[in-house]
Amino acid sequence: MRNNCVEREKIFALAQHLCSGREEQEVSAHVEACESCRSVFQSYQRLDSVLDEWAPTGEPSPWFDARLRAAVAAQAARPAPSFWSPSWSRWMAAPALAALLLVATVVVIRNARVADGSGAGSGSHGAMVAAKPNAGSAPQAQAASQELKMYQNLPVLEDYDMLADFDVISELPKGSHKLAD
Amino acid sequence: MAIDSDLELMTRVSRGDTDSFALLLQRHRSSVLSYFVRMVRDRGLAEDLTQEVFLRVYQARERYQPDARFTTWLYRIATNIALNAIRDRKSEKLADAPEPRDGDEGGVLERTPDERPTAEQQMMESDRQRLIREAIDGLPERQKAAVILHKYQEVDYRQIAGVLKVSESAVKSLLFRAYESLRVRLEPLVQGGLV
Repeated sequence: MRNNCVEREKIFALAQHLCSGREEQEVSAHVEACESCRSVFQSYQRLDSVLDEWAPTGEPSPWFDARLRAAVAAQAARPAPSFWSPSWSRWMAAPALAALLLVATVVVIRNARVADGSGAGSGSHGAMVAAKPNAGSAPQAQAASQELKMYQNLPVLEDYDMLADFDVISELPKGSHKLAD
Repeated sequence: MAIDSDLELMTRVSRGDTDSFALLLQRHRSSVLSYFVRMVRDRGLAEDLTQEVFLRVYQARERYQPDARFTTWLYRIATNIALNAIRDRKSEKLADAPEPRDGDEGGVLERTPDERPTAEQQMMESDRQRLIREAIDGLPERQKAAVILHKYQEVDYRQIAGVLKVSESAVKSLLFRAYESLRVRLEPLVQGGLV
């Protein structure tokens, strides 16, 4: 391709009918005049013909239609959604999980304070969370590690599909009740 | 008698007309199924996912807003479901895969780039078709969806932008990058070899 040739992406767009009217005229005129660009254009056309060969589709299985209609009919027969229906729990799952995380964070921080012996009103939040390397306190390090894990899991709140199926009780880490002790 | 548009039918469905829904289902079930067959390459799974799409359409009938073409909405639901199914299958395979041994090149992802063909596929496919399928399967998931929608479902690129929630120029760019990869991977076929 020469310096005055059109971009390869535009030749592709021409071959795939993705150009706007004016752009199509310009690129088309260049491709007709330029052997090198015409060759690129033809290679996209050949690729398109090759892709035509992939035809895995066929008739659906004999029971497909019946199964689909039965599923839709069952859906149609369901009563209107109530307050506690899945659609409501879907909306409530995120705030509920956020509240749960907040409570767990507070419990962890309080535990860290108690283990630290610093009690109420001592130091900054950063000081409470950070594990002191020479303190040698395993529970304190574990609490800090659990809190860090919770922060790392915060993006889960953006996954509404996952939250819709979130079961608070079953998802609680084993032994988490000990945190409240 | 005038043929009802998809939007008219869906508007009726949102008012509780199940006959209109049956008509929509009849009109679009084959195209949605063939989209899934290409996306997930497992006919049984494709049929399950097609069913899920229409159930979701039905469940969302009262919230439906006719501000875009019905097929844009339909393919958006189908694409989300397909991409989730592909990701689920990848995570299952990663969980099942053995730990890489010392001296192995690359991780699990490099060693299992795609799934093995089913017995049905092996019987039906020619070598050329297998190469094409593997080349398309090897594309990043959004490029794959864009190529299948554009090439096989014949969805207009403006509509693909609506399906993938990206700009029209982003769709052109996705398709260009996908075709560039395919051109390299399918070089022997494009040059006329491997008959």
